[in-house]
Amino acid sequence: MRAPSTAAIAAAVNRWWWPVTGIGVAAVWVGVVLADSSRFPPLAAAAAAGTAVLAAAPSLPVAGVPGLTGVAALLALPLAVAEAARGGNAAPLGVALGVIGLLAVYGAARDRSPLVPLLALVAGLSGVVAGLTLGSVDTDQIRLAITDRPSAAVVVAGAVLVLVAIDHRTRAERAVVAPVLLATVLAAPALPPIALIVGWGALAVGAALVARPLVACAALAVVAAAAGVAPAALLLAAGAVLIAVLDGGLAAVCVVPGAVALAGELAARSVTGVRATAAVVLALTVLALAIRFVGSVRVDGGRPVGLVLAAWLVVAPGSWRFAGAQDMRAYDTGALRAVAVGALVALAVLFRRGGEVAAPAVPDIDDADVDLLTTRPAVASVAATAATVASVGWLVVSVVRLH
Amino acid sequence: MESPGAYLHARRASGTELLRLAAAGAAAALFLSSSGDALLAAVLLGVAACDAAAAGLAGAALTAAVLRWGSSSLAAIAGGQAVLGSAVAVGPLTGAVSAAASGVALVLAAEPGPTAIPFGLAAAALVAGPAATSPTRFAVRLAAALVAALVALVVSRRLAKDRRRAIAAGAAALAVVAAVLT
Repeated sequence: MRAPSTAAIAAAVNRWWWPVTGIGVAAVWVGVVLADSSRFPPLAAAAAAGTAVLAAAPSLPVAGVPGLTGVAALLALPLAVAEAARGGNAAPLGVALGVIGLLAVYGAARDRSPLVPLLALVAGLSGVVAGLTLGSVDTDQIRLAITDRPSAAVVVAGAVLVLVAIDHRTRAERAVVAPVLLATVLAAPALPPIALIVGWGALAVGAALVARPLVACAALAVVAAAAGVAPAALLLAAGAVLIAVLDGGLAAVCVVPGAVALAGELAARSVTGVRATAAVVLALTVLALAIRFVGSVRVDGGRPVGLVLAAWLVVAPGSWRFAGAQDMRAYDTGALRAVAVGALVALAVLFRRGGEVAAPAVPDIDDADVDLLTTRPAVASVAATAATVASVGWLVVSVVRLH
Repeated sequence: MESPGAYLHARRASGTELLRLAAAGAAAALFLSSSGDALLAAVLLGVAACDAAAAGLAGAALTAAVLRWGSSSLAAIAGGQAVLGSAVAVGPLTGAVSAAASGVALVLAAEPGPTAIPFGLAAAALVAGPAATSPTRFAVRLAAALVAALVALVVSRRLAKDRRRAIAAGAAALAVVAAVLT
């Protein structure tokens, strides 16, 4: 076996140092969530973790140097988000959002990228920050959770611009999705529910029909908040953040836990006009997402941490206690059993078919791609085997405990 | 002469086929053991059929059951049937009609092949799926599961897809309306 050359090592370091840094920062914030500390409560730490995961997602440009936007989004923004989300001062968050918007415009101007989406993003961010500031006029500091109607309307209007504009971007400025969505979910109860549900419901269905799962899931989160189902709103917001991280059609499955929580709550309560409208919006959005579903997902750059979090969200949303979803036990049990049985069935089919999976044809493979193609199936096989062994072990233990 | 390699290629499982069969197995396990969430099971049925219309029909049929029983837990639905009686045989009339229509919609939403089996099991769980707390209830559950799975397998092969889908859509709509009226 040949030893890797110095040039290969340098190339690997150039390629991976920033994604690994991003994964490290995101992992620290996930650790803060699990630590359940009083300094940063789980919801605040989760918002910061979502921001960090989003900032860590993009691959580096060829030179191996992250842009200023990426550095600010990964290192400064999560801290500001955590401070604001724990009920502290949201002024640093406002400043950080403004700086990231301006840095993104500056970077796009230098790269000669289209400026219109970024100008819409900056306008949306300005709206959100202006709404937060207006809503905090009577308090000693700027707050993330606002309760007066005009300010909430400004925040919500700004959020529409941010979400629609950010969906066309794949760079670190996507990190603003987490705080903006959290501010919108917190502001939604201050507005007339039926108007909010109809407006954001139309956005959710429309976005799902044009295969924009990020916007669809985020809009559903606002619909859930307007319908008074805060746990479902937070699960859907988490789903939207992870869809933005993974940036592929397959990521749309992150809608499932929040949608199930919302449907369960709506079915369990008495029927009102607001809940019936929310139920119709939910059904239409999920159906539209199913129709436009595409089975692709990106795992380059710092996205693997997002993949792990997405799997955790889809399989065990009941363990995301900061969201406050109380009645997800049946979902968690069923999802774990489904994973275990599904893995067993897949394994049995593979054994019957000679242990090989038909790979799709890949045209024009050059030498560098051959390495990737031969390495990835091996890594995937090891991961699948580990997951199968773990889930089957869990299945056996759960059945033994049942009887 | 055909090479052995060509035969091996033909036998290889595609990623989509693996996913569909795994989802079908997972859904079958959930409905057989009455564990998990009905709406999650609907998603698994949709993946097993690999068809948005089938997913929508399964979702509507299972939503009708959730509306009737007030819970999306399959264990709660089976427990309710163990106490009150099979869903199709216990009143009010609108509730029984909703259960029967849900069963019809699920059986007709199935695609031909082994992935039809979980659709049949889902229909059985909603129509006559009491928790197996006594030999009689176990027998009822087992008989319903066998009959429904067989019907789903046969109907999905024998009846034209357009006709199946049209009847299933009507039955799913009836199930939801009847459940809302219950």
